[in-house]
Amino acid sequence: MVFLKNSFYIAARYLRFHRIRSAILIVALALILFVPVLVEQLVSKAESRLTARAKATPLLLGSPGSSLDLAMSSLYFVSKQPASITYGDTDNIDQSGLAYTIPLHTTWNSSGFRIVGTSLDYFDYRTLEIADGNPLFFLGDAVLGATVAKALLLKPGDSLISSPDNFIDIAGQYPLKMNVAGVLASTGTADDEAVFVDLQTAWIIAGLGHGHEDLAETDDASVILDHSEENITANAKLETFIEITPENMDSFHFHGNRKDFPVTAAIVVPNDEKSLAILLGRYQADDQPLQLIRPNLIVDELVNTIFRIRRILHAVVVIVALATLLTLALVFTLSLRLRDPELKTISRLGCSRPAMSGFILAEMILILAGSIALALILIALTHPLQPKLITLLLSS
Amino acid sequence: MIHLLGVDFRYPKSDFHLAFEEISVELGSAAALIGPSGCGKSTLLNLIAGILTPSSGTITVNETDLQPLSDSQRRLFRLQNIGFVFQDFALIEYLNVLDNILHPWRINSALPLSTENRERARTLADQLGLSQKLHRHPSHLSQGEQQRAAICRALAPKPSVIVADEPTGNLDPSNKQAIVDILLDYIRSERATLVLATHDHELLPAFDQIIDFAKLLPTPSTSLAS
Repeated sequence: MVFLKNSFYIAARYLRFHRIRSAILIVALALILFVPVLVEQLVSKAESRLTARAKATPLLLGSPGSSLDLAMSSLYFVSKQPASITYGDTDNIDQSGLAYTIPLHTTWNSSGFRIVGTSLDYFDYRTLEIADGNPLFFLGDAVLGATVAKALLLKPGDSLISSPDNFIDIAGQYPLKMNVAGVLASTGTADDEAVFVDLQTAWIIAGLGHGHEDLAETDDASVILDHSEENITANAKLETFIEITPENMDSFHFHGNRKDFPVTAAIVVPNDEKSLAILLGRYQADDQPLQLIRPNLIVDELVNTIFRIRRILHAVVVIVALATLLTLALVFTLSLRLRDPELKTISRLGCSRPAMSGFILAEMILILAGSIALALILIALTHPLQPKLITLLLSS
Repeated sequence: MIHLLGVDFRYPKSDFHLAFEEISVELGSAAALIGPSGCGKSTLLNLIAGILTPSSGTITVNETDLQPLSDSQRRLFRLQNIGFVFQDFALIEYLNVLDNILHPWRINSALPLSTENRERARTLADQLGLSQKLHRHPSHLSQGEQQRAAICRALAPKPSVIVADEPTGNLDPSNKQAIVDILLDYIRSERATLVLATHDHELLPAFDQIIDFAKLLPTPSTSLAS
């Protein structure tokens, strides 16, 4: 026991004296331990996040093209946005009586977070709970995912502004100031990182609907371009509201047929297995202008790819770890050579070979313990960042 | 008493050969080993300390015959009886002065490090003018201070024999005499034995016995060679 204590005392003194060398050894070993653990955790969590959400979404309706993009943008609000379909397309499924649909409009952003225009069914379907405030009620309301609220330091009663699609296009959409109605409880899913608005609010952001002063009652004649018995046409001078308030809410209106309005995709929830099979059959024809996909099959393919990448990553990590360990072994051997005079001295003073080995072993144990401690600290420090890293991983 | 009789020693794969009829150093006396470089002074000190073993002959230190002892027994004997002082001080660079002095206790569980031993180390350091330098590392000490620290390390376990291999070789004249005085004071007060190898003839008058390698009688079958 005394010998152990002395061995560790001498080893600690040695490591402290050569603190830079010791720190490099500890960091190198810690990284060997930390990187594979982090990768494994990220891949496992990404995998479970992907599969859980995909399994909970029976069908997705979207435009033809990349089914992966459709799945990723509709389930995780990441990836390239697929071409839009129309609200009428989703309505057709509703009218078929085989399923109900939850439209998704995921084109716009606000402060770097995706604005998801949808119906209230979405919240029930994903079993999302309001942690603070109220659900969507008025036009222009927004319900924030937990991460969004935390990142932007927003609470019910605050407001946030949609990011314009294009700053240069002066004829493009105006930013809309949205009222934060509520904040969702954290779910650990993509919903935490979304700004939910009603589908109509998303259409207003898209410029399909707007609010302005009543032209029949305006005092400013210069905004009137044409005045007939049925219609009053305004020119570009007419200012549209950029915020929906209780006072101006009634003035908001849409131009055109809503059935032609765009949605990015729709979650399709069939009544039963038979309805699911019928719907899949309907949309399987090559000439269909729409595609209906089973997200779990798409994500399974993706997960299989992740498995293959994971295997490659494991191999790379093992090779890098082996190379690092060999380098560390070389460093240790060279340092032992440099310590030859010291070892000779303590041998002459009466130290046995096993005791000398004990000192070296104690140094190794301390370095290993330091490395494990550092690796654990790094794992703990990166743990809160993992959801963000997973989102980055999935979005790239 | 140190008594070497009919000692014959060769290093493996080397032409070096040390052989002599008899050397005796009385208990409580100071003996200086002199002779040209490479004549075998350090080898003789290592034989006395039990670090090397002769191929023939007997070495007795304080009535203990080193020949029949096993390696571990000789190591223990060395720890308990021999204090080693080196020309290059051989201090451990990563330990401070106090830890260097206490090192013999820490490297072998046969010497338990007690509070009394710690006190002795501090007292000794104080006597040798190192009390203000106990927490400094060897690289921050002058050469004289380093050798005094090395002597503290050798004397702290109260050895009955001091083996010093040219301990003044790297020191200036004022430090040389001071170091020898410290060693002589110790053997006088503790009734220990000192065997010191040196090239410095100015130090010799202080010694009770001079062993000149050039005058050693070879064993009948061999001759002294280097």
